[in-house]
Amino acid sequence: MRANAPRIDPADLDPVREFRACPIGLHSPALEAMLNILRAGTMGGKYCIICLEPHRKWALGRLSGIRGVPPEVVPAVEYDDLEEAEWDVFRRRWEAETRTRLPPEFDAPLRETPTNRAGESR
Amino acid sequence: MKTLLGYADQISVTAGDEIAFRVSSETAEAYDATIVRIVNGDLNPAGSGYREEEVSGTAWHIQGRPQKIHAGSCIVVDAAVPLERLADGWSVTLLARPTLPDSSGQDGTGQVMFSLRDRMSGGGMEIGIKGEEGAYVTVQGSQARVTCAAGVPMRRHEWYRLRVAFDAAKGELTLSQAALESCAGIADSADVTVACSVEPAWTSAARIIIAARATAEGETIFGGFYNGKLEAPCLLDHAGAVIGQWDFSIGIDGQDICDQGPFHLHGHTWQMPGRAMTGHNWNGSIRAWQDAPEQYGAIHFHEDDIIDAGWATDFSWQVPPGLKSGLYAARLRSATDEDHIPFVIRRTAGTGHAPLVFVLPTASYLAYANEHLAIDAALAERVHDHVPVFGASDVFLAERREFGASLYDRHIDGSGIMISSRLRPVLNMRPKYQSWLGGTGSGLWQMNADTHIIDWLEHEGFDYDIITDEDLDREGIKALSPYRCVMLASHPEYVSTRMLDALAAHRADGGRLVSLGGNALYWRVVYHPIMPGVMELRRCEVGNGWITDPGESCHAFGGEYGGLWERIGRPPHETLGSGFIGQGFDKCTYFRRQADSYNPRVTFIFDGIEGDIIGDFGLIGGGAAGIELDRANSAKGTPLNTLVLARSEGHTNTYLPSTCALLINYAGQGAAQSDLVRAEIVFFETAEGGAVFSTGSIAWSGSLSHADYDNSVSRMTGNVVRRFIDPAPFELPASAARPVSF
Repeated sequence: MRANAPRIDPADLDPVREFRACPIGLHSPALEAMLNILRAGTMGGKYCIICLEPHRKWALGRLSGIRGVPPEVVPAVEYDDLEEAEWDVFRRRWEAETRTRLPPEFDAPLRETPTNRAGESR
Repeated sequence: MKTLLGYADQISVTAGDEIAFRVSSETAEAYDATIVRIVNGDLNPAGSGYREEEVSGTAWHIQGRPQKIHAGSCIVVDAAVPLERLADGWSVTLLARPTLPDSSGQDGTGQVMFSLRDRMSGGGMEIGIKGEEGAYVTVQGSQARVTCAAGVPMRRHEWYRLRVAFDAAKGELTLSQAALESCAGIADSADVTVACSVEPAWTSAARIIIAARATAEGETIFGGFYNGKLEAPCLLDHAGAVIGQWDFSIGIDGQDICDQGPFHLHGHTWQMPGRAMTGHNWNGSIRAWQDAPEQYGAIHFHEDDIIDAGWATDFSWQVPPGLKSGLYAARLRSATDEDHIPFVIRRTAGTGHAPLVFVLPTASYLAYANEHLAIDAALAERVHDHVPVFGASDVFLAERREFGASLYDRHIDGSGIMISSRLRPVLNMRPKYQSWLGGTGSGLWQMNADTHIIDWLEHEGFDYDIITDEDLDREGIKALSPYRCVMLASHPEYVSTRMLDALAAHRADGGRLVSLGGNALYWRVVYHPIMPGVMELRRCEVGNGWITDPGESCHAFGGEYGGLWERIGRPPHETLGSGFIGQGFDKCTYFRRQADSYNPRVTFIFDGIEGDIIGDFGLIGGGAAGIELDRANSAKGTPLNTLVLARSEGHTNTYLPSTCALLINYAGQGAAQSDLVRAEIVFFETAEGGAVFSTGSIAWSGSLSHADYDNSVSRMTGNVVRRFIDPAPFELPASAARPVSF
C-alpha cells in the first residue's frame, strides 16, 4: 500500500454491507472510496473473472501483468452467478487489504438461487 | 480454448462474387463449414434467443491445418546488391531512435536495424541494438563471426547517428554510436574498433532487409525485428561511393521505399510500419508532413506490427443470386471449437432495393478489433465498475499477441497502434462474443450488439438492405442513393471523410437518418487507398488510450489531419443533432420524456407510447440509456429546430464526461452528482424534406426485443422508421426555434 493512501477501517462494515447488497450500481461516497482503494492494485496478480460457459458458469482468474502471458484460472473457484463472483473478489481484496477476516454475517451465499440465468441485467 | 480461427478476404460481397475463407485449425483438426445468416448473436437466455439460418447448398468438410501469423514490420529491398563493390569494405550510416532499447530482441539475438545477409546461410552483416551493449555490427563469415558493439546502452526515444565500417585490407570493424543530444551524466556515445579477419559470407542471394533480418524459415518470414524509428540508411563502398541511399520521406503515403542511389535498390514495406513520422530534424514548426516531407524522413517499426496474416485459402464460395441482403458468416465447426467468419451480402444491383439501409459500422469494428484494454490496462475495472470478465477469445488473444490488437491498444514499445486490418482473425467481431465494454447483462459490443438491431428489423418485418462502412467509403453517395432512410448502428464511432460526405449528400437529397446508437461519427479514420480492409487512425489532440506524438497528427494514408470530427469542423451534432458527452459501462437507465416530445411535429413518434418513462428495461445494462451517451448542443452544431424528446437520468458516478466535453477537471463530475452526462433523444427536420432521429445511447438497441418486442423502445423506433421510409416530405417548422444547449 502506498504510504499516503487512505486506509480501510476494518471496523467500518457499512460499505461492505452496501456492496454486498448491490455490487454494481450507484454507490455511496464511502463505498466508492473503498472500491478505488481495492481496485488500485497493479495488473500482475489482479483478479479477473473468466467465463467458462456464457451466462452460466465463471471462474476466478488472475491477470499476469506480463504481455503475452494470459490470465490464469484460480483452481476450484467457480461461480454460477456473476454477482457472487463480484462479491467474492471484493471480499478477497478487502480481507487482503485489511488483513482481517470478514465476520460470519458475510459467510452466507449472496442468494439462495442464482438470478443471473433469467434476469435481464444479469 | 480457441482452436479454429479465420478471416475472409472481403467484408462485403454481392451475388456472383467469390469470397475466400482462410482458416487456421490450430490442432490440425478437420472441420465442417456452412454459410449462415446471422439474425441475433446474443446468447443471453433473457433475450429473444440466438438465431442463425443456414444457407442451403453450402457445406464443406475441410481437413484443417494450422496457419501461423508472423507479426513484425520491416523493409524488404527486392533488387540484388552489387556485392563486388563491397569486396574491399563498406560502411553504413543511419539515424535511429529506439523505443525499446533495453530489449535484445524477441529471441535475444538483437533488434536488427539494417542487414545484408544470405537467407539460408546467414552469411553477411547486420547492424542492430542489443540492450546494454547498445548498437552493434556483426560480420558473419562462413565459419566465424565478429561483432563490434558500442558497449554503452542507447536511451529510449533519443536520436542517434550510427556509422559502421568494415575495412577488408586492415581487417577492422568499427562502430560509432553518437547521441544527437547528450545527457549530462550519461555516457551513451562511443567509438569502437575491433580486429576482424572474417569477411561477410554473402552470395548473390543476399538481400537488404531494413529493421529485421532474413531467415531460413521462408522468403517472407523475417526475424530480429527492431522497435523504433529509423531514418536515412545509406550503404557505401570502401571508397565512400553510395551503393544505396534510402529516403523514407519519398512516397510517405505508400508502401514503396525509394533508393536515391545509382543501383535502384528500391524496396517495399512489410506489415506496414508507421510512416509520416517525425524525423530527427523535425523542428516543431510543421504540423503536416506534406508541408515539409524532409522533416518526416523516419519510419517507426514494431516487432508486433500486423496487417495481413497472409494465410492460404481453405475454401471459397461464389455468392448465388437471390439471397437476402444481410449479415452472414462462414460457420466453422470442429470437434473442439466453433468460429464464425462474418461478412455482408448486399442486394444485387438492378434487382430493386429496400427503402431502408442499415449501415454496419465495420470501420468501428476495425477500430476495436482484438482490443486488449482490460488485459493490458488498469483502467478497465474503474471504467465499468466491475471486475472484467474474459471469454475464451480474450484469453487466447492475451497469449497470442501476433494476432494484433486494436486502435485503443499500444505496441510493445508503448506507442499507440495506428493501423488496423481485417486481414487477420478478428475475434471480437463475432456473433456470440461478449465484451467487457457491453455493460452488465448480455455484454454485447459493436458487431454482436448490432445484431440486436438486425433481430428487431427481422421481427418487425421491415424491408431493408445491409451495407458496410467500406462500401460507403468506396462508393460514397452511390451506396446510399437507392435508399430513402439510412439507419446507423449502436456505435459507429469511426468514420472517414468520404463516409461523412455520403451522409451529407444523402441529406441533401432529402434523405432520412435514424441513428440507433451513441457516440457516433466521432473520430476521423482513413481507409488505405489501395488495400481494402486496412484503416488508419491518428488519435490526436485529446487521445483515448494513447495519443499521437507531436507533429504526427496527419494520416500517412492521404495526409488528412486526424482526431475528433468536432475539432476538424464537422461535429456529429450537425449530422445527428447530438454528440458524445460521456460514458460509463456499468448499469444503464431510462429516458424521461421532455416537453418537446409533446410538440405536434413528433406526435407520430409517440403513437402508442404511454407514460413519461422510456426504456427502463433491456439486455444491455438493464436499460435503454447507457454505455456511451450523446447530447444536443447548438453551440456545436445541433440544428436550431431540433427537439429534445427525452433525456436520460439515474446514471451512476461511473458515468463521467468525455475528454472532449471536459476542458478542465473539477470535483463532482460523476453523473450522480452532475447533470452534464445525460443521453438525449433528438429529432429535427431538414430543409430538403428529410429528417433525423437519434437515440444518443449505445444501449438503446438492447431494449428493442423486451417483452416480445412489445415495448416503448421498439414502438418508438418502429414509429420513426415507418414515417422515415414514407416518401411524404417533412416540413420545416414555421417559426424559428430557440437554441438547444446544456
